[in-house]
Amino acid sequence: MLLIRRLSKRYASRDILNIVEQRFDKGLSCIKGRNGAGKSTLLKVLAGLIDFRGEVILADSIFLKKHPLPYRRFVNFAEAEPIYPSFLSGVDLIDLFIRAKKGSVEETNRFIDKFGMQDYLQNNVSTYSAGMLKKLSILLAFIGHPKVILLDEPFITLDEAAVKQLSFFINDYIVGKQASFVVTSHQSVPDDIPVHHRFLLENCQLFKLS
Amino acid sequence: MGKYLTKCFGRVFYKQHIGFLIASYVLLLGYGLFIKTAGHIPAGQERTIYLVLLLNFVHSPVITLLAFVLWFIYTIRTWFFVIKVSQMPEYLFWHYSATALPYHSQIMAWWWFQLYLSLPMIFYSVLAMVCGIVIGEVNLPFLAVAYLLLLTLISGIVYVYWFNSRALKKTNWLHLTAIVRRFPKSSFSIFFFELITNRKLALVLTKAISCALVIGAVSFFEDVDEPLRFLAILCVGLALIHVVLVYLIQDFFARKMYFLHQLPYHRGVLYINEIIRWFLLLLPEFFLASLFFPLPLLPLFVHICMAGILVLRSLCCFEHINMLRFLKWSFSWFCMAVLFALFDLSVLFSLLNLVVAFIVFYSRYYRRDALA
Repeated sequence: MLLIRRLSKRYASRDILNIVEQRFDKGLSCIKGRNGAGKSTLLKVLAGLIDFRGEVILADSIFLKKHPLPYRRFVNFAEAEPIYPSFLSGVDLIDLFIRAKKGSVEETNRFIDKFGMQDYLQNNVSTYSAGMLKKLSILLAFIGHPKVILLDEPFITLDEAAVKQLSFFINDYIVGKQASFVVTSHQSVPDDIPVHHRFLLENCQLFKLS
Repeated sequence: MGKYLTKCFGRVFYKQHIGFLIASYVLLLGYGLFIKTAGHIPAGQERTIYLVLLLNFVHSPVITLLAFVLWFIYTIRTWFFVIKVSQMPEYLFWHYSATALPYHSQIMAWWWFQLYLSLPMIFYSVLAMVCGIVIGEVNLPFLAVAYLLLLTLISGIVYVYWFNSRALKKTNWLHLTAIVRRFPKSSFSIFFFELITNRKLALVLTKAISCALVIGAVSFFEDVDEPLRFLAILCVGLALIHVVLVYLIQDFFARKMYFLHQLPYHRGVLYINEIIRWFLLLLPEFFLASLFFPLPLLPLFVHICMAGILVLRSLCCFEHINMLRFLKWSFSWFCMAVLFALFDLSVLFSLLNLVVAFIVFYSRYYRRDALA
């Protein structure tokens, strides 16, 4: 689904990523690694947020650098610690993403109901707790018609009920919509989330474990 | 504690206001050192007169009063800044750590901190004092120092009151954020919401200086021999006045709106949006220009202003550019633009600016090295 070739990333003079070739196949891929290993950087690279050397190819035909628009239409991202302008409300951001990613309002409302977000979405994001912000960023990552959803540490700061709902949505998208997930986590993934492929990010390289 | 306060709040304050402070000093010193004095000045006395002009408030109570009002506004600005920043998550610890100290220690620390924030005024007062001693007028300079000490002491008390009593209570102040919440927002309009909610001061100051420049230029326009050249220099000046706004907006997009880069927007459309936004922001100047200058010159006015703003904005597409470096580049661009204007090549220069601005925007849009 997502192929990485000769991907390298440096900050100042320090190598962060140096991956010769790796493929994230259909299903859920979980990347583990110690703090500072470069998991978040890798996801930001795959999301097209930061520059890198090498190639990232979606579905064997959409290149991140050559086809920036189609790639961004089909690859969504939720970051570990999202930051949004304080004067925007959850509703503003959802509207923005629905318009940009051509998402469905009904589908989004289903998420909002299940995640129990309807009470605070009208408020500015500056009033949200870390967990509320996290839910919002995850919701935004599900908007549109993604083929790949990148989730950076999705389970931190979420309460138990929200983790269960997230598991349900992930399963639903893998089975029903043939979407794939790339998830980073340095804690154990909840049992009801099916992990199809495991990776370890170590010494700038990405190793497939199973 | 004072040391950590300056480290925590003080550096952030100067980082955010450096553009405004530099611009103010350039204006003040520029006025004092480069103004052409009217009438006959005996040779050798120019420097003395410039200093007297620069530090006029040493013996003019009206100017002193005006300076005191400006200092008071500046001090209030620092209060609002500290109060606003102290509510950010990374600064919340001040509410439950420093407040454990005795009140007098807290006041002393905050007083010291306010002195640090008042360095520009202290610098000016010292200059005034030296000048006052030289010309034998020491009353007003001493009054200025006393006023500064009083202001900083009151500030210390205000901060201590805020951190100990008010910080965790609800405020009923008028929040523009609450008002703008009702309006629908798009990726196009977020720019304006940021300006009117978080960048009010920079916006008002920029627009006031910019409109004043246009109106001021009108009085010279009919007397100049080369009106086109004059207009071109006025336009690049207007673009330069907007540098602080340009930087602040770009910084906001880099820090808080980076998620837009993950959305499938066409770069061409984004660039057109950018042009329209800056055009709307410059509408007051264009309107004034249409009132005071011959109408056939308006397209030229718009063209040079817009090209200038867009090329300055494109400088921000390069990473690792801080405010100081950006201002240096902007001043260099201004000098080059004036040079082109002097050779009557402003139209060509502006076309070049437009091309460069687009190429830089298009090629750098997806090339961020890191998130801020």
